[in-house]
Amino acid sequence: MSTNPYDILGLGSEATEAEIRQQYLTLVRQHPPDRDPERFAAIRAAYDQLRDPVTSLEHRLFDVTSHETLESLLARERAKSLPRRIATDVLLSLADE
Amino acid sequence: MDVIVGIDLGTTNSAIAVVRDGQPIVLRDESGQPILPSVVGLDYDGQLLVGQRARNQAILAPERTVKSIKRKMGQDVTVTMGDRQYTPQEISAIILRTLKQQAERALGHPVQKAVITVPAFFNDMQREATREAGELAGLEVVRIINEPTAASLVYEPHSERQERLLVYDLGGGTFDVSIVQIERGVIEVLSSHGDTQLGGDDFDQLLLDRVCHTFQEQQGLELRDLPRARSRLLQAVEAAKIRLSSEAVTELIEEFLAERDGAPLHLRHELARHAYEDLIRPLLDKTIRSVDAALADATLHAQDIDKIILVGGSSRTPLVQQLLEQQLAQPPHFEIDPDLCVALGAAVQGALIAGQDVGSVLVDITPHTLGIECLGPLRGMLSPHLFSPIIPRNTPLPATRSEIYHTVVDGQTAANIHVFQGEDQDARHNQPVGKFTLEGLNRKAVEGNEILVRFDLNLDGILTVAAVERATGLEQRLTIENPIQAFRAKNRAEAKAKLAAMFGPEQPLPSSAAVADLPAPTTAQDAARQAAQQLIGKARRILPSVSAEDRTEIERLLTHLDDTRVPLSVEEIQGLCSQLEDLLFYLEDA
Repeated sequence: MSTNPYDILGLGSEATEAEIRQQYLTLVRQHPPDRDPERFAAIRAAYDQLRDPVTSLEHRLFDVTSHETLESLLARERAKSLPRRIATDVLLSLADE
Repeated sequence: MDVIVGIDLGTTNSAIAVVRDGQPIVLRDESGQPILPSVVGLDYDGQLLVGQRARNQAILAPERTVKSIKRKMGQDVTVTMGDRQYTPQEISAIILRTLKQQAERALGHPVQKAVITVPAFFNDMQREATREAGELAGLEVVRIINEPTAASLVYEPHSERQERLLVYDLGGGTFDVSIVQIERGVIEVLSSHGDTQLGGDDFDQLLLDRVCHTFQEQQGLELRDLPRARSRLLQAVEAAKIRLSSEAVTELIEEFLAERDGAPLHLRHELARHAYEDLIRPLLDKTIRSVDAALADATLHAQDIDKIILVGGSSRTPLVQQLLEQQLAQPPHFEIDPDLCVALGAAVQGALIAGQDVGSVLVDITPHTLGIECLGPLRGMLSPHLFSPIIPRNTPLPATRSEIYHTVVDGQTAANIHVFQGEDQDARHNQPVGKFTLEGLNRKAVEGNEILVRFDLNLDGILTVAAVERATGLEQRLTIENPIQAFRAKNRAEAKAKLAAMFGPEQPLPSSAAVADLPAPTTAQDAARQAAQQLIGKARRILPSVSAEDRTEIERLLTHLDDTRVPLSVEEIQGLCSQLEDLLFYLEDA
C-alpha cells in the first residue's frame, strides 16, 4: 500500500483543507476504529500529515493564551533531532551515586 | 445478536444500561432503583451487602464496609473488610457482579459482555485494574471507554453542522474535562484533562474537617478518631452538602454522637453556602484550570464551544455552574441526568461494537503522553532520567508510534526500556508504567547501535511495547511488570473462588415466558420525568436572572425532581412540575 497520504485518503495533491477534512470523515465512517483499527490508524496518520500545518503553527506562536515562544518551539523541534540514548544499568548506577 | 451492556463504575454510584430499539435505557434493580451506591459490606453474619444496604450499615459498622474503592484502583494496596483483606479489583468486581445480576434480572437473559467506563485521566494501571475487576466479575470487558466521551455519545445531535462540546465531569472521586467535536456522525475527542483524585468525596472531607475542628474547640474531643462518630458525621456532611445546592444555610444536628465521662455529647453546626463555597473554591479553581488546559490543547477558545455538558453528581454544585459560566460565557446543560448519562453512553458504545447501527463513530484519544527514560540534558545537566515522549497526549486511538534510540557505549549488550506516562521532562516525576531490559545486543556494535522502540496503544488505552535492535532484528516485547499483572498471574483463580463463595450459587433467571410479560422498560415514572425535562431546562435557563427568593424556590423544586435516589411517584412528579410551571409562568409574566 502506498505511503503517500494523498493516496491513502484517495485525494489528489490539489485537495483543499475542507476537502481533506470531508474525505477524512467519510473514510472514518467507513472504517471506524472499533471495527477496522489498522485501516483507521493509517487514515488518521495520513490526515494528520495533511491537515493545516501552517494554521497550527500560527496558533502555537501567536495565541495569547499559549505560552509558546519562538525559542521554546525551536528548542523542542531541535530536541527531536538530537540522538537519544538509553543507558545500561552500569551507567544508571553511576549516575545515581 | 450479542448484548453488550454499558457500565458506569463510579466512585459513589454505579449504573448499568443497554440499548433497546435504538434507545439507551438504564436497567433498574428489583425495587426500581436506577443507581447502585458503590459500597460493599459484610453484615454481622458475614453475609455480603452491596449498594444501599451496605451504605446504610456504614455508620454502624465502618470496619465491615468499603466505600469509594475507585480511588484506590490501580494501586498495590488492600482494604480490610471484616477480618479479610481485599484488593481494589476484588471490591470493584463485587459491585460489577451485582450490576450484572441486576441487568440479567431486568433483561431475562444472561449478560456476558460489557463496556466499562473509566475517568479519561485514568492511567494505564488504573485501566488494567478496571479490566481485571470486570473479568473477576465474570464479564468479558469488550472495551474500556472514557466517561466524558461516553456522556457525549448520549448528547450527540444528528446534525450535519459541526458542533463542539465541553464535557465537565465532576464525580464522587474523580474529575475530567473533555473537548469533543461532532461532525457528520463522527465524534472526535480533541483533548482531555483532569484529576483522578478530586471529587465530591474531597468536599465531604473538607466539611468534615471543619465540623470536627469546631467540635474539638468547643468540646475538646476529636471525633475523627472515633470510627463510628466519624462515619455518621461523614454521611451527615454529605447530606448537608447536597442541601446546600438548593439552600443558602443548613444545620447539621447529630445527637448522641459521642460520650465523655458517661455523658452524651451532641453536635449542632450551622453551615452557610458561602462558607462551604469558600472551602471548596480552591478545588474548583483547579478544575477551571483544567478546562483552560483542555481548550489550549484543542487549540480552541471559549467562544468556539457550542455547548457545555455537566456530568457527575458533584456538578450539581451551584458554584461549579457559576464558575463555568464566568469562564466560558454560557450556561451549562444538563438535560440528561448527570448520574446516568455515562452509563447510557457506555451502552451506546456497546451497541456500536455489537454491530447495531447507532449512527455514530467514536474517535477517542489518550490523555497522557507515553514515553521512555533516556540519557539526555535535564535542567542543564546530563541525566539518565530524561523523559522522551513516543506517543504524545491527545493522540487518537488506536495508535502505533516508533522512535529510534542509540546505545551509549561500545559493546553495550543490554538496554533498559523504562516506560512512563506523564508530561514532566523528568521521567521520575511521571507515572511508571513498566520496564524491561533488551538483552543480548550485538557485542561488536559500537556506540550508537540503533534500537527501535515501538508503542502500540489500543482502543482501551492499554499499552504494548516492543524494542528491536535494528542491525540484528533482536526483538523483545514488554510484559509489563506492574502490580496488576502480578496480581493477575498469581491470584486470579483464588480471587474468583473468593468472590464465588461470597455470592453463593448463581440465582436462576426468570424464564423467557415470564420475561415477555414484564412491563416495557420505560416506566410511567420515566415518562413523567421525560415530560418534565423541557420544563426543567426552561427553569435552569431563567435561574440566573431571578431574585434570590425565587431562585431558592426553583432550586428546591429542581433538586426534588432531580434526585433519582428518592423514587417519586407519577403524581409527585406531576405535582412538582405544576408548582414549577406556576412559578415560571408568574416569573415570565413579571
